[in-house]
Amino acid sequence: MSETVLKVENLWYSYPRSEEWALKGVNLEVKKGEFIVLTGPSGCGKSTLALSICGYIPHVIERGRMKGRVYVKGVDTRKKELHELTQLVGVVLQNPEDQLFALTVEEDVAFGPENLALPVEEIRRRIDRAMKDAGVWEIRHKEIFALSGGQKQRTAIAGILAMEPEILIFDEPTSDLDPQGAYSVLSIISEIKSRRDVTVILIEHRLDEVSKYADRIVLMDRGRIIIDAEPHEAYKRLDEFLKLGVRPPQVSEAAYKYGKLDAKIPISLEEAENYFSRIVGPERRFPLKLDEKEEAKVCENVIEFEDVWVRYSDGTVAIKGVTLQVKRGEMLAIIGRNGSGKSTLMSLTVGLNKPWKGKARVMGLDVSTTPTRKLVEHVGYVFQNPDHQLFTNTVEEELAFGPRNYGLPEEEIKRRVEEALKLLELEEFRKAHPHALSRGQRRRLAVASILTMEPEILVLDEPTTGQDWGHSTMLMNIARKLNREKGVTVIFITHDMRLVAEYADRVVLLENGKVRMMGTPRHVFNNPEIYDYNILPPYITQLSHRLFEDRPPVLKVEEFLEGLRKLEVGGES
Amino acid sequence: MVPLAALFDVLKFLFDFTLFFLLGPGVLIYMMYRLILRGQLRRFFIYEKKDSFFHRLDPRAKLIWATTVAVLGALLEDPISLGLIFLWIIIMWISAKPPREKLITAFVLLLPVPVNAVFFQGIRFGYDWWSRSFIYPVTPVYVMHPALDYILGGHVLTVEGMIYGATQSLRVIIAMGSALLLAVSTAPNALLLGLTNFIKVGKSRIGLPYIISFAVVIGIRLIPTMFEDANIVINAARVRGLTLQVTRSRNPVKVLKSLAKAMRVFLYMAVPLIISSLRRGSNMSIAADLRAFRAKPYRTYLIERKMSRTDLTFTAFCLAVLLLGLYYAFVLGGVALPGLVL
Repeated sequence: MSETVLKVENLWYSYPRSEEWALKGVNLEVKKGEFIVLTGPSGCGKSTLALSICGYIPHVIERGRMKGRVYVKGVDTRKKELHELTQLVGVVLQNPEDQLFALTVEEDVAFGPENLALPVEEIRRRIDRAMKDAGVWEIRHKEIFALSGGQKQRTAIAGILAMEPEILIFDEPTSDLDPQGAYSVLSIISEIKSRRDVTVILIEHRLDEVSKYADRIVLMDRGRIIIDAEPHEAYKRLDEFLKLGVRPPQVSEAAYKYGKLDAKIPISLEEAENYFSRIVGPERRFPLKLDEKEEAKVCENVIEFEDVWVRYSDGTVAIKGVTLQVKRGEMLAIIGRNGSGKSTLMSLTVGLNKPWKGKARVMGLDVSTTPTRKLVEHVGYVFQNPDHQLFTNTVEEELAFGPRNYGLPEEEIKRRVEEALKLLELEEFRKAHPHALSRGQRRRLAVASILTMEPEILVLDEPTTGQDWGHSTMLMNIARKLNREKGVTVIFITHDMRLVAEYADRVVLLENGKVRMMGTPRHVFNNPEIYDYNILPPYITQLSHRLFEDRPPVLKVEEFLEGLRKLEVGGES
Repeated sequence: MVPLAALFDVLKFLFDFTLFFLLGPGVLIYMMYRLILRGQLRRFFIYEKKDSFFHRLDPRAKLIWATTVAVLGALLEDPISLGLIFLWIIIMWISAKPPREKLITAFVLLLPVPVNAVFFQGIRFGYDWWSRSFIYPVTPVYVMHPALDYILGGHVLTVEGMIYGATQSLRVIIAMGSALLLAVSTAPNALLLGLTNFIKVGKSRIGLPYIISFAVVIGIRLIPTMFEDANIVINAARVRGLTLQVTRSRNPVKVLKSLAKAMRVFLYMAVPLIISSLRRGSNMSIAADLRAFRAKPYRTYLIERKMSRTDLTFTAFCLAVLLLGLYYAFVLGGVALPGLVL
């Protein structure tokens, strides 16, 4: 039996100046070499638990209240110095930008061992191994600022590996990355696990991707662990994940909801293929006819790009001849890897960039000659980071900020503020300081502050990055409500293909400043070429492609289940 | 006649006020804003690896050069010596082969210094405000409305004052020009190492404490990110109906109003910028602590830089020039004030 490397005993913790307990009697025991996936809704205490395990609490955050014990390799973390603990527990944080301190990859990886005052030969040995294990050996002499998001995060991982810890904690390491970056980071984590004799605790929302690596899934809610089980067992209680707004793997969800097979709930595509293959039958044909044709909207174009090119002042050409029309009342998703030109293209709609060549019209206005102030009367643009767009001292003032800049009557402003407060469920925070809200609330406030300008077109730039599924769907449901009830045209830039499948009428795939694919989500996700652009369709679509020879363009779990039930009826008859 | 004279007086005041008070600073603010908006200032501080004489120099040699020119620039007064030092800086800038864009940015960054110095020294040099008279004989270039005395501290632009201002500004430009070159041509980490391990004898090192140089280098590293954030914040304000554009109207009241509005936008921008910096700072401090930052009273370094023969020769040359300059200043009287005979 493996030794216990980590034991958390009845741990309670509350932050300084806070009455509320962030952790409420957490018990967790981890054996050497285990791979634990720790998940739960935002604010449930995952990161606090991670900081307690690595000793940051209570060594650095000293004034909080702490009850219970954390033992790493049998030693109470309170009785060891933080720098000693850093050699036992390494933590990789969410944003790679905040974890890099040097100019080149190699120098950054050496930062920790240098701080430990290790001899130069030992530093060299550790960093060479760490860079190879984290997949940054080839780029070791590259400058940090020239790296992609995924490469930066792998460099941060190498920096932690160079401390040679026995427990590795990854705190949402992929949430700020595009699909390609996220994939490369998750692959590296699983490789590190197989190469090194380490214990891994991965805090993650993307259970689709990570469940297959896990020995155990730990689900937290409001400071407590509510599920701690082997993945197949954990997903037997799938309702509890859904209730908390945590997105379980789609394939597990499909099996759980199908509920008729007496076998282990699958947690990966491979397992799901085996699980469902018994029902599919020899013909391997999907019984439902799913609409593949794009609905032709008869409405007028609200956005028209004709062979648009955008060039930055440093000469970089970011958009290369894009032609695109957006109809009134559409919900359009823009996808593509980081740097493909998604935000630049959409920034044209409010004139933050101007076309270098070609024609861009928004509500009939020529973007080249119309000032931003005029364009934003029609287009509301919500940026990715809410912290960059909150300017005032209370939530109410923030909501009134835009309409006030346009000199609207106070009565009208008040009406709009009340409506937005209600719609985004921010009423109880009306007097709160915007920056004192949680990240999810700040995100909602950023959207609400644009909605008070009552735009006809709403552009959301990565609206769900770093948010759990519950918060993401809440935001997107509001966008859909505005779209369906008020006819607002919604354009959202995203890396989340499940959101695209759930909410988009049409999807545009950009790559290197050009439109590579365009059509309904069914059409785009069913095109095998999509894999060439490092985009993975939703897992339920992938599963359908594996199971059925006619590659049905299934987008949602419910459609998949409906098909299976029809097959079953057909089989019985 | 009296009303006409009074009208002329008011018009003259408005003209002088607009030209010398509003437009001067207004143009400079506009130019800085253009720089931020076009991302040039952000890119200016990003270190670019290059193969040039100046880039190859050891950071310690560069620091000694920058110190030499800054010290001599501060000590020497006569325009010829200052001109020679300025020429030395120009030569070093050329040797670093900067792209045209960086040169323009450096020019815009340095421009406020001579503009302000020449103008303000031009009206204040030798002027006794209380007696409203000059203590030296002067050659007036332009006489403004006397009421500007209360706003600008003088109202007569003089040749002597302008020359004095130009000389003074040259000294500041020398210090800033060398510091900017050092910043754009030296990797922050190399500079950190240079500062921390300035002299190494056996195991002991003489230089800045690591914790201070680390903070300085992180500050430098975050400058481009700060500008990127500032750009996003400006755009976020623009899409909420705020504008930074100063009106093109010739009406001074409108100009004043739009300047005040632009200043208000800057104040709004400060909130998200400060808060995102604090959040980043807090995350970075967690990340640094988790990598044993300040764990021990001393630390080791993966790369120990050694001065090459070229570095040593260049350093010796700088020190020789510094000694010569000091000899000229203190022994031959080059430090005597002022260089001008009035």
